[in-house]
Amino acid sequence: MVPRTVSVVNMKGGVGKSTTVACLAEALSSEGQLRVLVIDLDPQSNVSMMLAGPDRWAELRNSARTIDEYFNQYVYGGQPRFFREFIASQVSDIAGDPPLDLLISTPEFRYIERHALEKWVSQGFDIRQLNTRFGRLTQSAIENVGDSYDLVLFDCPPGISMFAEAAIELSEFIIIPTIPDYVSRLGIFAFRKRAIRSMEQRRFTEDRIWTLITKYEESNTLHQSEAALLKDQFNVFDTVVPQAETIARAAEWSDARRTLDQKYGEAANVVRRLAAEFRERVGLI
Amino acid sequence: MIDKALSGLFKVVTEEAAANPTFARRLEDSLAKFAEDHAAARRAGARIADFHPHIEYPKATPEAFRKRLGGFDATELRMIVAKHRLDPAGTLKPRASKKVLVEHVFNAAQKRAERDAKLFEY
Repeated sequence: MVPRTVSVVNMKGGVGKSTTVACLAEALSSEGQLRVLVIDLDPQSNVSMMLAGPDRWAELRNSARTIDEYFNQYVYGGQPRFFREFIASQVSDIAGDPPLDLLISTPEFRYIERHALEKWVSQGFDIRQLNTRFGRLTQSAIENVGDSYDLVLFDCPPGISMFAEAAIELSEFIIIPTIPDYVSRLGIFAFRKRAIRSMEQRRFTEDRIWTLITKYEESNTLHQSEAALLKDQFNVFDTVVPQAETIARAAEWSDARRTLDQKYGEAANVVRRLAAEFRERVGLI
Repeated sequence: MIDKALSGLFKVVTEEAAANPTFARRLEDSLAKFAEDHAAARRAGARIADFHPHIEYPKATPEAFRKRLGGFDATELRMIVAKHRLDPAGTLKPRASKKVLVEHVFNAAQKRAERDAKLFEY
Protein backbone atom coordinates (compact mmCIF):
# COMPACT_ATOMS: atom_id res chain seq x y z
CA MET A 1 0.00 0.00 0.00
CA VAL A 2 1.28 3.47 -0.88
CA PRO A 3 1.14 5.91 2.04
CA ARG A 4 -0.64 9.23 1.82
CA THR A 5 1.94 12.02 1.56
CA VAL A 6 1.22 15.44 3.03
CA SER A 7 3.43 18.52 3.26
CA VAL A 8 2.90 21.12 5.96
CA VAL A 9 4.33 24.36 4.65
CA ASN A 10 4.15 28.14 4.81
CA MET A 11 6.73 30.70 3.66
CA LYS A 12 6.21 32.46 6.97
CA GLY A 13 7.83 31.14 10.13
CA GLY A 14 6.13 30.84 13.52
CA VAL A 15 2.69 29.96 12.18
CA GLY A 16 2.59 26.51 13.79
CA LYS A 17 3.85 24.17 11.09
CA SER A 18 5.81 21.89 13.42
CA THR A 19 3.08 21.97 16.05
CA THR A 20 0.51 20.99 13.43
CA VAL A 21 2.68 18.08 12.30
CA ALA A 22 3.26 16.91 15.88
CA CYS A 23 -0.42 17.17 16.85
CA LEU A 24 -1.62 15.30 13.77
CA ALA A 25 1.07 12.64 14.02
CA GLU A 26 0.41 11.96 17.69
CA ALA A 27 -3.38 11.95 17.47
CA LEU A 28 -3.50 9.83 14.32
CA SER A 29 -1.00 7.26 15.55
CA SER A 30 -2.10 7.01 19.18
CA GLU A 31 -5.87 7.14 18.76
CA GLY A 32 -6.34 6.62 15.05
CA GLN A 33 -4.14 3.52 14.79
CA LEU A 34 -2.46 4.91 11.69
CA ARG A 35 1.19 4.15 11.02
CA VAL A 36 2.74 7.58 10.65
CA LEU A 37 6.18 8.70 9.49
CA VAL A 38 7.23 12.31 10.12
CA ILE A 39 10.09 13.64 8.02
CA ASP A 40 11.60 16.82 9.42
CA LEU A 41 12.91 19.02 6.61
CA ASP A 42 13.49 22.03 8.84
CA PRO A 43 17.03 22.60 10.15
CA GLN A 44 15.48 24.22 13.23
CA SER A 45 14.62 20.62 14.17
CA ASN A 46 11.58 21.64 16.19
CA VAL A 47 9.36 18.70 15.36
CA SER A 48 12.35 16.37 15.85
CA MET A 49 12.82 17.72 19.38
CA MET A 50 9.10 17.65 20.09
CA LEU A 51 8.63 14.04 19.00
CA ALA A 52 11.96 12.44 19.90
CA GLY A 53 12.91 14.52 22.92
CA PRO A 54 16.35 16.08 23.29
CA ASP A 55 18.12 12.92 24.56
CA ARG A 56 16.98 10.61 21.80
CA TRP A 57 17.49 13.39 19.24
CA ALA A 58 21.15 13.64 20.40
CA GLU A 59 21.55 9.84 20.20
CA LEU A 60 20.17 9.77 16.68
CA ARG A 61 22.38 12.65 15.67
CA ASN A 62 25.46 10.93 17.12
CA SER A 63 24.62 7.73 15.30
CA ALA A 64 24.23 9.61 12.00
CA ARG A 65 20.54 8.74 11.61
CA THR A 66 19.44 12.12 10.36
CA ILE A 67 17.94 13.63 7.21
CA ASP A 68 21.22 15.44 6.52
CA GLU A 69 23.16 12.16 6.67
CA TYR A 70 20.68 10.56 4.29
CA PHE A 71 21.23 13.24 1.67
CA ASN A 72 24.94 13.51 2.52
CA GLN A 73 25.60 10.09 1.05
CA TYR A 74 24.36 11.31 -2.32
CA VAL A 75 26.31 14.56 -2.15
CA TYR A 76 29.61 13.26 -0.77
CA GLY A 77 29.37 9.58 -1.63
CA GLY A 78 30.34 6.85 0.85
CA GLN A 79 28.79 3.59 1.97
CA PRO A 80 25.13 3.74 0.87
CA ARG A 81 22.50 3.04 3.50
CA PHE A 82 18.82 2.36 2.98
CA PHE A 83 16.41 5.13 3.89
CA ARG A 84 14.73 2.96 6.52
CA GLU A 85 18.01 2.74 8.45
CA PHE A 86 17.82 6.46 9.18
CA ILE A 87 14.35 6.33 10.70
CA ALA A 88 13.77 6.36 14.46
CA SER A 89 10.89 4.10 15.39
CA GLN A 90 8.21 4.71 18.00
CA VAL A 91 8.97 8.24 19.02
CA SER A 92 6.64 10.57 21.01
CA ASP A 93 6.02 10.72 24.75
CA ILE A 94 2.40 9.61 24.32
CA ALA A 95 1.68 6.43 26.26
CA GLY A 96 1.05 3.12 24.50
CA ASP A 97 3.93 3.20 22.00
CA PRO A 98 1.96 4.64 19.09
CA PRO A 99 3.19 3.60 15.64
CA LEU A 100 4.84 6.96 15.04
CA ASP A 101 8.28 7.06 13.41
CA LEU A 102 10.51 10.01 12.67
CA LEU A 103 13.42 11.07 10.54
CA ILE A 104 15.07 13.83 12.49
CA SER A 105 16.66 16.97 11.18
CA THR A 106 19.64 18.80 12.65
CA PRO A 107 20.97 22.36 12.26
CA GLU A 108 23.63 20.94 9.89
CA PHE A 109 20.89 20.19 7.39
CA ARG A 110 20.99 23.81 6.24
CA TYR A 111 24.46 23.24 4.77
CA ILE A 112 23.55 20.20 2.66
CA GLU A 113 21.62 22.15 0.08
CA ARG A 114 24.47 24.63 -0.31
CA HIS A 115 27.08 21.87 -0.64
CA ALA A 116 24.93 19.95 -3.09
CA LEU A 117 24.44 23.08 -5.15
CA GLU A 118 28.17 23.82 -5.20
CA LYS A 119 29.09 20.29 -6.17
CA TRP A 120 26.40 19.50 -8.70
CA VAL A 121 26.40 22.90 -10.35
CA SER A 122 30.19 22.57 -10.80
CA GLN A 123 29.42 19.25 -12.52
CA GLY A 124 27.21 21.02 -15.00
CA PHE A 125 23.75 20.47 -13.51
CA ASP A 126 21.29 23.36 -13.62
CA ILE A 127 18.77 24.24 -10.91
CA ARG A 128 15.91 22.39 -12.56
CA GLN A 129 17.99 19.22 -12.77
CA LEU A 130 18.96 19.62 -9.12
CA ASN A 131 15.30 19.95 -8.18
CA THR A 132 14.54 16.82 -10.15
CA ARG A 133 17.41 15.02 -8.45
CA PHE A 134 16.26 15.98 -4.95
CA GLY A 135 12.74 15.02 -5.91
CA ARG A 136 13.82 11.57 -7.11
CA LEU A 137 15.92 10.98 -4.02
CA THR A 138 12.98 11.87 -1.80
CA GLN A 139 10.57 9.76 -3.84
CA SER A 140 12.84 6.72 -3.79
CA ALA A 141 13.21 7.20 -0.04
CA ILE A 142 9.44 7.08 0.44
CA GLU A 143 9.15 4.08 -1.87
CA ASN A 144 11.76 2.34 0.27
CA VAL A 145 9.50 2.53 3.31
CA GLY A 146 6.09 2.89 1.67
CA ASP A 147 4.74 -0.45 2.87
CA SER A 148 5.39 0.44 6.48
CA TYR A 149 3.21 3.53 6.70
CA ASP A 150 -0.30 4.82 6.11
CA LEU A 151 0.79 8.43 6.20
CA VAL A 152 3.98 10.41 5.62
CA LEU A 153 4.03 13.98 6.94
CA PHE A 154 6.71 16.41 5.79
CA ASP A 155 7.46 19.32 8.13
CA CYS A 156 8.83 21.93 5.73
CA PRO A 157 11.03 24.85 6.74
CA PRO A 158 9.89 28.45 6.35
CA GLY A 159 10.83 29.72 2.92
CA ILE A 160 11.19 27.29 0.09
CA SER A 161 14.27 25.10 0.05
CA MET A 162 15.00 22.50 -2.59
CA PHE A 163 13.98 19.85 -0.10
CA ALA A 164 10.68 21.59 0.58
CA GLU A 165 10.16 21.84 -3.19
CA ALA A 166 10.80 18.11 -3.46
CA ALA A 167 8.32 17.39 -0.67
CA ILE A 168 5.67 19.57 -2.31
CA GLU A 169 6.29 17.87 -5.67
CA LEU A 170 5.80 14.53 -3.99
CA SER A 171 2.86 15.33 -1.75
CA GLU A 172 -0.71 14.53 -2.60
CA PHE A 173 -1.95 17.18 -0.19
CA ILE A 174 -0.58 20.42 1.22
CA ILE A 175 -1.54 22.04 4.51
CA ILE A 176 -0.73 25.71 5.06
CA PRO A 177 -0.98 26.65 8.74
CA THR A 178 -1.76 30.35 8.96
CA ILE A 179 -2.32 32.80 11.78
CA PRO A 180 -5.27 34.97 10.70
CA ASP A 181 -3.30 38.16 10.31
CA TYR A 182 -1.84 40.15 7.46
CA VAL A 183 1.74 38.88 7.27
CA SER A 184 0.84 35.23 7.81
CA ARG A 185 -1.68 35.50 5.01
CA LEU A 186 1.06 36.87 2.78
CA GLY A 187 2.92 33.62 3.44
CA ILE A 188 0.15 31.73 1.63
CA PHE A 189 0.30 33.90 -1.45
CA ALA A 190 4.08 33.63 -1.53
CA PHE A 191 4.02 30.04 -2.70
CA ARG A 192 0.40 29.28 -3.53
CA LYS A 193 0.91 29.52 -7.27
CA ARG A 194 3.94 27.27 -7.03
CA ALA A 195 1.91 24.69 -5.11
CA ILE A 196 -0.99 24.88 -7.55
CA ARG A 197 1.38 24.36 -10.47
CA SER A 198 2.84 21.32 -8.76
CA MET A 199 -0.65 19.90 -8.20
CA GLU A 200 -1.72 20.57 -11.77
CA GLN A 201 1.40 18.91 -13.17
CA ARG A 202 0.25 15.74 -11.48
CA ARG A 203 -3.34 16.21 -12.68
CA PHE A 204 -4.49 17.14 -9.19
CA THR A 205 -6.49 20.26 -8.51
CA GLU A 206 -5.96 23.04 -6.03
CA ASP A 207 -8.67 21.64 -3.78
CA ARG A 208 -5.88 19.52 -2.33
CA ILE A 209 -4.24 22.63 -0.86
CA TRP A 210 -5.74 23.45 2.51
CA THR A 211 -5.31 26.33 4.91
CA LEU A 212 -5.40 25.68 8.63
CA ILE A 213 -6.12 28.63 10.92
CA THR A 214 -3.76 28.52 13.87
CA LYS A 215 -3.10 30.52 17.03
CA TYR A 216 -6.62 31.91 16.80
CA GLU A 217 -7.71 34.32 19.50
CA GLU A 218 -11.48 34.37 19.73
CA SER A 219 -11.75 37.86 21.19
CA ASN A 220 -9.29 39.38 18.73
CA THR A 221 -11.29 41.30 16.11
CA LEU A 222 -8.38 41.19 13.66
CA HIS A 223 -8.40 37.39 13.88
CA GLN A 224 -12.19 37.30 13.46
CA SER A 225 -12.01 39.52 10.39
CA GLU A 226 -9.05 37.80 8.73
CA ALA A 227 -10.33 34.29 9.53
CA ALA A 228 -13.62 35.07 7.78
CA LEU A 229 -11.69 36.37 4.78
CA LEU A 230 -9.45 33.28 4.67
CA LYS A 231 -12.52 31.04 4.74
CA ASP A 232 -13.98 32.97 1.85
CA GLN A 233 -10.84 32.91 -0.30
CA PHE A 234 -9.22 29.55 0.45
CA ASN A 235 -10.04 25.95 1.24
CA VAL A 236 -9.90 26.18 5.02
CA PHE A 237 -10.18 23.46 7.67
CA ASP A 238 -13.37 23.75 9.73
CA THR A 239 -11.24 23.05 12.77
CA VAL A 240 -9.51 26.15 14.09
CA VAL A 241 -6.47 25.75 16.33
CA PRO A 242 -6.69 28.28 19.16
CA GLN A 243 -3.84 30.18 20.74
CA ALA A 244 -3.50 28.00 23.82
CA GLU A 245 -0.88 27.74 26.48
CA THR A 246 -1.44 23.99 26.68
CA ILE A 247 -0.49 23.53 23.02
CA ALA A 248 2.69 25.55 23.51
CA ARG A 249 3.52 23.58 26.65
CA ALA A 250 2.93 20.26 24.86
CA ALA A 251 6.04 20.95 22.80
CA GLU A 252 8.27 20.25 25.79
CA TRP A 253 9.30 16.62 26.13
CA SER A 254 8.08 14.61 29.12
CA ASP A 255 10.21 11.71 30.33
CA ALA A 256 7.09 10.13 31.83
CA ARG A 257 4.66 8.83 29.22
CA ARG A 258 1.34 10.69 29.11
CA THR A 259 -2.05 10.51 27.47
CA LEU A 260 -3.16 12.84 24.70
CA ASP A 261 -5.40 14.59 27.22
CA GLN A 262 -2.54 15.08 29.64
CA LYS A 263 -0.26 16.34 26.90
CA TYR A 264 -2.60 18.79 25.19
CA GLY A 265 -4.82 19.60 28.17
CA GLU A 266 -7.94 21.56 27.27
CA ALA A 267 -6.80 21.64 23.62
CA ALA A 268 -6.82 17.81 23.33
CA ASN A 269 -10.29 17.79 21.82
CA VAL A 270 -9.27 20.38 19.23
CA VAL A 271 -6.35 18.10 18.31
CA ARG A 272 -8.79 15.19 17.98
CA ARG A 273 -11.18 17.21 15.82
CA LEU A 274 -8.30 18.31 13.60
CA ALA A 275 -7.12 14.72 13.24
CA ALA A 276 -10.64 13.51 12.40
CA GLU A 277 -11.13 16.23 9.79
CA PHE A 278 -7.68 15.52 8.35
CA ARG A 279 -8.48 11.81 8.01
CA GLU A 280 -11.64 12.62 6.17
CA ARG A 281 -9.91 15.07 3.85
CA VAL A 282 -7.07 12.69 2.92
CA GLY A 283 -9.36 9.69 2.69
CA LEU A 284 -7.87 7.69 5.54
CA ILE A 285 -11.14 6.71 7.18
CA MET B 1 -9.20 39.52 49.15
CA ILE B 2 -10.84 41.28 46.19
CA ASP B 3 -14.19 39.62 46.93
CA LYS B 4 -14.22 41.16 50.41
CA ALA B 5 -13.21 44.56 49.04
CA LEU B 6 -16.02 44.46 46.44
CA SER B 7 -18.52 43.22 48.99
CA GLY B 8 -17.62 46.15 51.28
CA LEU B 9 -17.90 48.62 48.39
CA PHE B 10 -21.36 47.40 47.34
CA LYS B 11 -22.53 47.54 50.94
CA VAL B 12 -21.51 51.21 51.16
CA VAL B 13 -23.23 52.00 47.83
CA THR B 14 -26.39 50.12 48.84
CA GLU B 15 -26.60 51.89 52.18
CA GLU B 16 -26.02 55.30 50.58
CA ALA B 17 -28.71 54.65 47.93
CA ALA B 18 -31.18 53.72 50.66
CA ALA B 19 -30.40 56.80 52.75
CA ASN B 20 -29.88 59.38 49.97
CA PRO B 21 -32.70 59.70 47.36
CA THR B 22 -30.64 62.05 45.13
CA PHE B 23 -27.81 59.57 45.00
CA ALA B 24 -30.31 56.74 44.34
CA ARG B 25 -31.84 58.69 41.42
CA ARG B 26 -28.43 59.43 39.87
CA LEU B 27 -27.50 55.79 40.26
CA GLU B 28 -30.71 54.71 38.49
CA ASP B 29 -30.13 57.19 35.65
CA SER B 30 -26.57 56.01 35.22
CA LEU B 31 -27.57 52.34 35.15
CA ALA B 32 -30.46 53.05 32.76
CA LYS B 33 -28.18 54.90 30.35
CA PHE B 34 -25.65 52.12 30.50
CA ALA B 35 -28.33 49.51 29.78
CA GLU B 36 -29.68 51.61 26.91
CA ASP B 37 -26.23 52.15 25.35
CA HIS B 38 -25.34 48.54 25.85
CA ALA B 39 -28.54 47.29 24.21
CA ALA B 40 -28.03 49.67 21.26
CA ALA B 41 -24.44 48.46 20.82
CA ARG B 42 -25.58 44.85 20.90
CA ARG B 43 -28.28 45.50 18.32
CA ALA B 44 -25.78 47.26 16.07
CA GLY B 45 -23.26 44.46 16.59
CA ALA B 46 -25.86 41.89 15.58
CA ARG B 47 -26.74 43.90 12.46
CA ILE B 48 -23.13 43.99 11.23
CA ALA B 49 -22.13 40.51 12.45
CA ASP B 50 -22.57 38.85 9.06
CA PHE B 51 -21.27 41.75 7.03
CA HIS B 52 -17.60 41.54 6.05
CA PRO B 53 -16.66 44.39 3.67
CA HIS B 54 -13.69 42.53 2.16
CA ILE B 55 -15.83 39.49 1.41
CA GLU B 56 -18.91 41.38 0.24
CA TYR B 57 -17.18 43.90 -2.02
CA PRO B 58 -15.91 41.43 -4.66
CA LYS B 59 -19.29 39.70 -4.74
CA ALA B 60 -21.34 42.77 -5.62
CA THR B 61 -21.24 45.60 -8.14
CA PRO B 62 -19.79 48.81 -6.68
CA GLU B 63 -23.25 50.38 -6.78
CA ALA B 64 -24.87 47.46 -4.99
CA PHE B 65 -22.11 47.44 -2.38
CA ARG B 66 -22.50 51.16 -1.78
CA LYS B 67 -26.26 50.73 -1.50
CA ARG B 68 -25.78 47.98 1.05
CA LEU B 69 -23.52 50.24 3.09
CA GLY B 70 -26.24 52.86 2.94
CA GLY B 71 -28.51 50.45 4.79
CA PHE B 72 -26.41 50.78 7.94
CA ASP B 73 -26.62 53.74 10.29
CA ALA B 74 -23.58 55.76 11.36
CA THR B 75 -23.07 53.75 14.56
CA GLU B 76 -23.09 50.50 12.64
CA LEU B 77 -20.71 51.88 10.03
CA ARG B 78 -18.33 52.99 12.78
CA MET B 79 -18.49 49.47 14.20
CA ILE B 80 -17.64 48.02 10.78
CA VAL B 81 -14.68 50.39 10.56
CA ALA B 82 -13.48 49.38 14.02
CA LYS B 83 -14.08 45.64 13.62
CA HIS B 84 -12.23 45.38 10.32
CA ARG B 85 -9.71 48.09 11.15
CA LEU B 86 -10.58 50.17 8.12
CA ASP B 87 -9.13 53.37 9.53
CA PRO B 88 -5.64 52.37 10.68
CA ALA B 89 -4.30 55.93 10.54
CA GLY B 90 -7.26 57.45 12.41
CA THR B 91 -8.30 59.77 9.59
CA LEU B 92 -12.03 59.62 10.36
CA LYS B 93 -13.40 62.34 12.59
CA PRO B 94 -15.32 61.07 15.64
CA ARG B 95 -18.52 62.70 14.38
CA ALA B 96 -18.08 61.77 10.73
CA SER B 97 -21.38 61.75 8.85
CA LYS B 98 -22.98 58.60 7.50
CA LYS B 99 -22.11 59.71 3.96
CA VAL B 100 -18.44 60.07 4.86
CA LEU B 101 -18.46 56.71 6.62
CA VAL B 102 -20.05 54.96 3.65
CA GLU B 103 -17.40 56.37 1.31
CA HIS B 104 -14.64 55.45 3.74
CA VAL B 105 -15.76 51.81 4.03
CA PHE B 106 -16.31 51.64 0.29
CA ASN B 107 -12.80 52.94 -0.49
CA ALA B 108 -11.17 50.66 2.07
CA ALA B 109 -12.91 47.58 0.67
CA GLN B 110 -12.09 48.58 -2.90
CA LYS B 111 -8.39 49.09 -2.11
CA ARG B 112 -8.16 45.82 -0.25
CA ALA B 113 -9.80 43.97 -3.15
CA GLU B 114 -7.33 45.54 -5.58
CA ARG B 115 -4.38 44.59 -3.38
CA ASP B 116 -5.68 41.04 -2.92
CA ALA B 117 -6.14 40.62 -6.66
CA LYS B 118 -2.44 41.41 -7.08
CA LEU B 119 -1.50 38.97 -4.31
CA PHE B 120 -3.33 36.16 -6.05
CA GLU B 121 -0.97 36.78 -8.96
CA TYR B 122 2.06 36.84 -6.65
